[in-house]
Amino acid sequence: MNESRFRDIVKEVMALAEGTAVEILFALQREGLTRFGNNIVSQHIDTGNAEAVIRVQKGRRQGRASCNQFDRATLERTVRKAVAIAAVQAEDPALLTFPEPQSYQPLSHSVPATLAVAPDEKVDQIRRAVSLCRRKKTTAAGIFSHGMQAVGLANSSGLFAYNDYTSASFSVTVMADDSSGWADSTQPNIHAVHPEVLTSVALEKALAGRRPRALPPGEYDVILEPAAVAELLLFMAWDGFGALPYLEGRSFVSGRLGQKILSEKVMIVDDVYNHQTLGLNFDYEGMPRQRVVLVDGGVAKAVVHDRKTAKEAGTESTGHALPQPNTNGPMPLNLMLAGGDSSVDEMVASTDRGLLITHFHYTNILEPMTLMITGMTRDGVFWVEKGKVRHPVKNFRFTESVVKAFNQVEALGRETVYAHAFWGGGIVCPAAKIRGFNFSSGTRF
Amino acid sequence: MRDLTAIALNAAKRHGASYADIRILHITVEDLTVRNGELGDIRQDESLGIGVRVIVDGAWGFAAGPSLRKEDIRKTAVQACRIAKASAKLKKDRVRLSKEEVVDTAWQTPVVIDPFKVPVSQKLDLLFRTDEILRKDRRIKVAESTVGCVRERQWLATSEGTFIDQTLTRTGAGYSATAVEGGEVQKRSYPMSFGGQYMGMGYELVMGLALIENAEKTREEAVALLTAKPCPSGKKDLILDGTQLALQIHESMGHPSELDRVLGLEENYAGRSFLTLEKYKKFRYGSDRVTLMADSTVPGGLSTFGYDDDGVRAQRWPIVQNGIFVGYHTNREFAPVIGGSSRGACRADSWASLPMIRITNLSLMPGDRTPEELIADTKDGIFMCTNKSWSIDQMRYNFQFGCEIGWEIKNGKLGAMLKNCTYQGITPEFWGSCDGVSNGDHWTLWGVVNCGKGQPGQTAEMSHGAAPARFRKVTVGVTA
Repeated sequence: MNESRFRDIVKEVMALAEGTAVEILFALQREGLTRFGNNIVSQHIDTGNAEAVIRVQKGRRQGRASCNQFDRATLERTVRKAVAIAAVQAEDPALLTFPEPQSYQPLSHSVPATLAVAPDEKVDQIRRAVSLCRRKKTTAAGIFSHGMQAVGLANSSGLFAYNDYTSASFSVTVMADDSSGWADSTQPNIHAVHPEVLTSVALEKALAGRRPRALPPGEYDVILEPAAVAELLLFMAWDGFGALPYLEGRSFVSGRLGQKILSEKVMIVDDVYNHQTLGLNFDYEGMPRQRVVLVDGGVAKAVVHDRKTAKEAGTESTGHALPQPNTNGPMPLNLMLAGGDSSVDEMVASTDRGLLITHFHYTNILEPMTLMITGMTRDGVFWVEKGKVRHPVKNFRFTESVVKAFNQVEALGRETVYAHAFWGGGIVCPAAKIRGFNFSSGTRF
Repeated sequence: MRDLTAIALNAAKRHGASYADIRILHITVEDLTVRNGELGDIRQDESLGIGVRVIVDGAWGFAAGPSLRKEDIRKTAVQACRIAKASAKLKKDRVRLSKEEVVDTAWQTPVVIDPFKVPVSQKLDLLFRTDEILRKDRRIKVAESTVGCVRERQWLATSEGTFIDQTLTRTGAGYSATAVEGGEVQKRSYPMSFGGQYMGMGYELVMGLALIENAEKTREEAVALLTAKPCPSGKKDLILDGTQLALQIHESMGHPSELDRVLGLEENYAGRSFLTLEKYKKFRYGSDRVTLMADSTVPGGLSTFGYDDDGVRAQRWPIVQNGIFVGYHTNREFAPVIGGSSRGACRADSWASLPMIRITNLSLMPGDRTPEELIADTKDGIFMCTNKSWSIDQMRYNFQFGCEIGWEIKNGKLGAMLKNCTYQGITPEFWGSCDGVSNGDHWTLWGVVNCGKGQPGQTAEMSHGAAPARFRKVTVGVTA
């Protein structure tokens, strides 16, 4: 499966549609993932799939059906299903016809070497990494994965787009008797992912975290490592920066564009063209994906649009559509918080009393207008006093408003990384120091 | 299909597999969503493919692909063996599977009305009628109504001689209304959140849900929440409805009893479990009133099947018996750790996914009270309904849930409506505070359709039966 095969499928579907307006969204993926736990390989897989989603329009009616087999009979059945569903609907005056051909800014987050790694090469690297843990009588659990994704989109108005990217990830949690440490990295190039280095970081943190002390819940100044910052930003992406919640008055940005809503230190951009992120140069309507400044100097500047929300708002699509139709509206998929002029070490040195936090766990939203969220700390919480890391601390539950937190930013790291939140979603961001972050309860470890 | 499965099993054997299985799976999905008077989502998806799992040199390998061509099936099996050989370079003990019965059989979900044969027009008509009622108040900014069904036909063959042709059908429907005014956003769902109620049955479920009949009440509650009192903070007696209890059971008892999680193999994603091996059959998990049964045979469950993806027969067994922790969810790989055979809890979410331990239908057994009795002898409490948010720590101790709606209970009577309801606790303390469970007349099997686990992530479905229950002196109204 590749771009050439996709072009063949497009031709065949166009012919089967017999003049009906049609769009073909093609998604191809391959993944090899080695999972390890208790210092051994526990699961090890190699999978791949290709799927075509066929959307037809008959006047102001639409239908959609998908398949992962591309013989003529299956394609014909899938087109027929899409047409049949369109036929039984009432006219939808808001339905947009398929867009005309677009031009795209070149983008490649694809490194062929990533796909050339054999299963036993990954196991060898994992073995070297976990041997570090064995020597310290700790255990490691994690993943080492590599793969690719390609997306093609074509329609009967002549639009054609195709883009792909590779990615490799190593994520590791190291467990000691009463503590744990964690590190991860995702890169387009598997050779830029260093399992032993990452495991050393997680191991060091696990060892430093032994014999944690309980502290009472309450407000603390916090130094959040990038993955913890990504956790907060993810909810801005999901519940705030898309035009649909914005237009429906249920986003923290609703009615506040042009106003200062966050700390002046905060600049948030959605930018697939940033070299640290992964993604495609077009969206799921085939519109060119644009760099959008969402917050600058703490001032809300924009939300992202697809064609439908753009029409409603009297503006242009920013190229952030999800597969059509959908109930979520457009969404920023390549969020980036600009770095500042500090570092984790400098943040620690400037802290009189506070907590250093590795990342968060199982975070969820409580209230969308303030982005009140709750979740747990995980894999390393440390007490900082008079400019030095003093001792490990038992985990907390936090209940805090993301909007409030980003209004109380004291410093941002100058280095940004591509970090994952618990629910996924790679976000480019630095570490951050935030004043008065609320922890609502503790736990037993 | 037997011929195709034999190709994979023979190729695996030739390449050194001491055990092999192949699942050929054809998944058909239909999901229709109406949002604010328009089609919000349309899915009519088909996916076909194979997944081959092998043990070579005492280690697992798994490969999957969409092609059912004979040569591709053989290549997939060979690739699984190649992967297993690589895995064997970093192992401690050889994988040993529990001994299980070899079967050659078929099973299918009992269905009265095939949901795929109900015309799309009929489903859309139901959704648009519901949507119209939900949007009859200008403050409702988002109305979403969904009907969906899934059919999975799977042929499982193992090198031990098992062959199972199984067809599972799941159907469901539901809706939500989101009211927005003056910077306040409030949502009500029916019959439960996350898209509604789903079960292992046919369209007869949708016809019995009384969707149209409950739309007006749902809309009015969403609007009323805009001006309702906020949930007070402090310690209160808490009565939870069955839909909220379903997720409470899921997070605080379902996942902690997955044996692979207990053994540390999920550590890097959603974490471990406090129900470690030394607690097995000894630990007091809850009060005497708390009995939780796992049951993949219960009619209508989303995890009701004939056989799991290890080919093990569906079972019913206790996880908690009168407050004592007595059971794990197991598969063939890990059952020997605690002795005995597998509980048949091994499932994958597609042909491309590796089977692993998943929660089955896990239910809180009914008690002897009625919800009215529980309310009547509660002096200072809150009745909370319908999950809105959920979070639990990586050992499954500290949880915090939010509910869409609540009502004050003062001196045995329901009082004012409450918004932004939350409660927080530590799992064994919380279940230990359970002092009343409603009886079987109020017990319903509620579906969870979004259970995430594993890396790469898989989504599974299961049901949790519950009747309203009361918990004493729980922390409520958690705020920043």
